[in-house]
Amino acid sequence: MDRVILVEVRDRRLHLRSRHRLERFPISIGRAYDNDIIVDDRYVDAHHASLSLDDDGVVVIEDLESVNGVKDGLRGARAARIRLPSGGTVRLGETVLRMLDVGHNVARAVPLADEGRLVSALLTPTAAWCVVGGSVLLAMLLAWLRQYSGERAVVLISAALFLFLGLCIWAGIWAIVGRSQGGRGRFLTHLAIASLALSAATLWVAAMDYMEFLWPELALRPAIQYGGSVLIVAAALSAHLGLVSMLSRPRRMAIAGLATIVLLGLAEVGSWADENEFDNALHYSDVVRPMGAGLAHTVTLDRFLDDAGGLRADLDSLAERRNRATAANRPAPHSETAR
Amino acid sequence: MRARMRLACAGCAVAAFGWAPMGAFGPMPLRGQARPGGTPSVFRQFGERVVKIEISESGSAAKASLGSGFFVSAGGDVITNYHVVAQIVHDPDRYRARIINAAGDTLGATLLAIDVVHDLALVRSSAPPSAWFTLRAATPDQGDRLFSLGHPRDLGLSIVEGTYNGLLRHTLYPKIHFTGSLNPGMSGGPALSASGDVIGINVSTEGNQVSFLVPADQALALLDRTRAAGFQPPTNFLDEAARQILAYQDIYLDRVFRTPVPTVTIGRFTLPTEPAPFFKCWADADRNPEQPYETVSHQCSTDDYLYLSEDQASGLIELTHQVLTSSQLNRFRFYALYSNEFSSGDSPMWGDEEDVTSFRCVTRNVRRGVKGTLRTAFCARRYRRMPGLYDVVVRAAALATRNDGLVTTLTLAGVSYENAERVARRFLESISWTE
Repeated sequence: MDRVILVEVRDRRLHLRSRHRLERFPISIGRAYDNDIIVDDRYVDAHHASLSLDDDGVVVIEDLESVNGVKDGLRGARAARIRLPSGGTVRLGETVLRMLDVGHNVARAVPLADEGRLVSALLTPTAAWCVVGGSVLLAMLLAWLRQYSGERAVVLISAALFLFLGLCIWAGIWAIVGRSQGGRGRFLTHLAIASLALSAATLWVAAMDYMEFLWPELALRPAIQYGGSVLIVAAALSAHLGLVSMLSRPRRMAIAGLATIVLLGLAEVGSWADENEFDNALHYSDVVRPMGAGLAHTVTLDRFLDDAGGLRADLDSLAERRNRATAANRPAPHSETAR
Repeated sequence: MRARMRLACAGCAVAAFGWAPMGAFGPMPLRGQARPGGTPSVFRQFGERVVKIEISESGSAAKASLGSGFFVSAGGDVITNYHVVAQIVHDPDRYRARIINAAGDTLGATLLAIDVVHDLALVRSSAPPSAWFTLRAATPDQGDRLFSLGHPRDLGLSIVEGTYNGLLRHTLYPKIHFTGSLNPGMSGGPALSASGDVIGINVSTEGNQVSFLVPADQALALLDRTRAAGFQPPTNFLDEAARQILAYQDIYLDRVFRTPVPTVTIGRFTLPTEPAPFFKCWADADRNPEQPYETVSHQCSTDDYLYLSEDQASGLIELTHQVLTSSQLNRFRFYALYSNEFSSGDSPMWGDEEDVTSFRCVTRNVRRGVKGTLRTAFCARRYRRMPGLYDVVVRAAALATRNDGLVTTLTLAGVSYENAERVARRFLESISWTE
């Protein structure tokens, strides 16, 4: 016989357990130790099935009247006899067998660069730790700049610890996902990606605050801020996905972008609903930044009062809208007579 | 802010249950001396002209609030306070008034006219009275004895003796300072001279015998209005109230921040103070050595307001300056403090969804020539059922270039939009600092 055939034994998550070269037939499969292929699966019989070649030279598996039988493919039904061309699979209990000719086609290697240049740089522990440390220091610096009633080192250290802990949990989840997909955990790289994204988001929000301070009437600002946030979160998600899956770069970017838009969109819808609720608070743009007025976009007092006058029509229509809604909900007045 | 208490009495019955005489001694026996012009004689002679006014919700049998009033005509016209009958004005479908006369008979009551500015109302009883006051101009001397009648806390008709201390100066609207104890439930009752002339109408108290009366000539003016030929009661009293407020505020707001505006200097900021004679100002500083910064605050507010409803007032104007300085904080940390002081949040005014809309705000960096640039927010909300009336808050932060800052707030309650813009302009123009 000149053809060489391989059989792969995989668990129910399709992780490879063992691979056997088949050089003679028939081959016995089962849990007992006198089998040619021994399968550690409590749903497999001691002598479960046997492999042989048919007249065309194709491998055939025969059920030896086992308890759970032999099932075709990954989802097919039980059968007494199944033909298995190269790449064909069957299930025995919770075990999957895959038959392969040695000449079976193998896909090209995934290039290492597909993980992205930035992520590749973060694969080295030194670089990863530098990024994580930098993010924590940045968070501590910002927390310090926000303090104005006395120095409280405890506050800074606890802020840093909580941030680090949060990042570790996030990175840990991705590492577990990576391991469960059969790859490596790469906890440190995930940690560095999350730190980088968090720092970018923090700086982005700070930059947007300056923008709001300098130019409060810029109507496009919320859209710019939202767009930037989507980009940062989507890039981070895409990088995490790249480490844990074999998805191609465009596909995982699409998935990450979509997930981010849905997540941030939900938050936006929530805040929009809040805005329409009655409350007694003043919601004005209250950022002041240490820049003086030199660079700020300013208006004259006349122009300001013109803009303030524009609120009036809004308020009048809001009041009328509310009044109509109340009138529609109000029950008919009591028709009771005075006593 | 000190609270001034209006004398309408909501939930008085509950208050009365929780009320017990102080001390272990019984009441001192009083020997009545029926000398003419004395308290017992005033009470006997004029008590039957005073009534109790109860406001009840049409769905519930018990009263929702009560006040007092008095007959001023043979036809059954009763003068009381606007704030006693305000619920009828705001919700005529739900509330109704009734009059209980001295004999204890319950009479129907119809609202005829209101004067929101002076807190007066005229109701017509369904049956004519046996006796009534004739309103006429009378000016007592400071120190003259006055007798105030009414139903304090629903404890029955009572008489309170006190002294006339003249008209208050610097108020939004004329008021008599009465030294005597007025209590909730006495609102709308008359304060009489010994000869039985109505001098004023009980309206509010600040406690400790400091009480206020509406001058009787205002009640006479209201009565005359209803007697004029062709008088028709307004079809919508709420619109009438809004109209009266708007007409009156054009006069008094014109006096607010008139040039030259009095100023006060705090640090390098020159700030407006006492915008008009009817404002009272207060100042304080917070210099806690444990804190790396100092705050100086300066506040002015009208001592007075027009009562619209339990949650709404008009004419309340408040001005608050806060100057922050720090030599210890670096600029970033100082601005963290400054941002926090300037931060938006709850408005300084009450109000619920029934009465007002939410606030809407406009924020700009406003440059005012050499006077510097102010980060300024203009926030307003509308009174839902009184078109033309708004609550406005103007808050500004100075964009200065050193480690000091100014957060200033102007609050205007129940004003027209034009007036709000006019006063806001004068206010913002009167702020300056040296670089």
